[in-house]
Amino acid sequence: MDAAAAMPTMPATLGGASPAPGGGPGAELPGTIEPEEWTELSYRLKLTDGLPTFAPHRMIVDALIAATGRSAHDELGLIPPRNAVATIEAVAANAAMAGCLPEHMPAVVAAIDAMLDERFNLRGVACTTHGCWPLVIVSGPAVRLLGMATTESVFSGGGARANLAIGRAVKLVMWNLGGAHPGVDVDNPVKEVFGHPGRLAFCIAEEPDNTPWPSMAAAGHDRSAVTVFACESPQSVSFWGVGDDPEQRLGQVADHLAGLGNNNAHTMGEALVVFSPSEARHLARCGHDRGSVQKTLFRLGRRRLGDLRPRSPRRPDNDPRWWYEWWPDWVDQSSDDTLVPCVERPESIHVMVSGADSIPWAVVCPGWGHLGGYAVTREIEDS
Amino acid sequence: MNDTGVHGGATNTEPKGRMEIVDPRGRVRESPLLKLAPRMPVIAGLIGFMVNEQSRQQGPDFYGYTIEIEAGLRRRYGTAVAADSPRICKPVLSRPAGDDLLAHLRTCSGVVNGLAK
Repeated sequence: MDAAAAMPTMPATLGGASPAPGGGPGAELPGTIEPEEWTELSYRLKLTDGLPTFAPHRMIVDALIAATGRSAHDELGLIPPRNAVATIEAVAANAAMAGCLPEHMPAVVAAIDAMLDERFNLRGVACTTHGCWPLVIVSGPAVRLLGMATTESVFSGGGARANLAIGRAVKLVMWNLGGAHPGVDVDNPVKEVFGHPGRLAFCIAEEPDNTPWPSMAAAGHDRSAVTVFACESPQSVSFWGVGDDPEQRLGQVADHLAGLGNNNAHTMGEALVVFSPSEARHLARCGHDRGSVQKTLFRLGRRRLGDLRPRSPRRPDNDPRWWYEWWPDWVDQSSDDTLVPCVERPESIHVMVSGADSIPWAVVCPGWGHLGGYAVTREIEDS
Repeated sequence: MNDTGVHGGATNTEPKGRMEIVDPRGRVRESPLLKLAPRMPVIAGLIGFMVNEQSRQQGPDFYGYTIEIEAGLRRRYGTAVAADSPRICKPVLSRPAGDDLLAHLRTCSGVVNGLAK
């Protein structure tokens, strides 16, 4: 029995290897269709999660493949849990369904490639009960070249086709190649309890110009990059009740980062903080760069061990046998008064600038904790 | 830019009538890893357990369940089920167990493990 066999697997009927009778999910696609047949066909074959899609027309798919500068048969890897092969052609078919334009394809391919990094633990992200999902963050010149939204309503696409099409392509790759369909069947490994709306399309862009700090992707000003990070939906941090003191303002953000119910507070991992341009400017005027913001959030984003893990039958005392084995050794678990940080190091709090340049604001996207979904960045290749 | 006619661009060259479509599901490479383990024809021998989360900080107590399951198997199948079932716990519940852990299960007739927790 090997490692992969130890993980729950997808039944063959969902694997596409055995076409289902009656034209339901798993059935083979007809080679050609009338254009008006696509919508109902896609629902009948469960090729979409419920939102309507464009038909993966051969001509469109070929144009998307060409935009990558790669062969249709090039393989990016296997998309779990179904483990279908993510060829450039298969990814392009899903991108076509998402409404991608050829110029979106390098970003889509970079995102899929990043998600397949072992650090990301894509199988776990796809199957977990937790409500995280891969957030795609585009940085660098591509943001303007693709016409991506970086201001109002950025987490909802901001009215830009590129934001939603790229995010949607990633979702459909997970849906169709990965077979990541939620379901109660015991054989179905996808066990998300709630999910979140971002699972329909979860892509934002880093503000490239109106920001006091360099890109989080550190790809350089002339290079574009995609970062994927599995996280919860954005949680608003408005600066009620605090003055201009950055310590107070970052304290408000840190309180969300170390929320008692999120995975970071209990298992660490990574988290994302997005500052609106005006808040980032304010912090910069107060002398903060990205690194000092991360260090401050790391210092402030802590909970007493006794509050994180109140005494209960599951932790009746401070005996080492009840200690979390995943916390680093420098966390003193022998005392209820130990302040436990929500991540292991400052750099695990990813900081970026995006959103409307109206009032100062921030959002926190908690991660999946130490279980995976860590941020992975890939440069966007020129096609 | 959009001179390819993609999604009804400036020069819409989509043909009228029937169109060829590409299956977005790709293909699954045949692999034993993609199949569920076969059912044991007879419940007998050494039955191992693999637990995702020993610390059981939340959710169902699968570690405790395995103890009950082992006792139940022994009640039902008697001495056909070997004593001292190996029981391993993964260090990180969301990732596959490593070869070093799985080595403890290689002599088993069957292994019981849980989904999610």
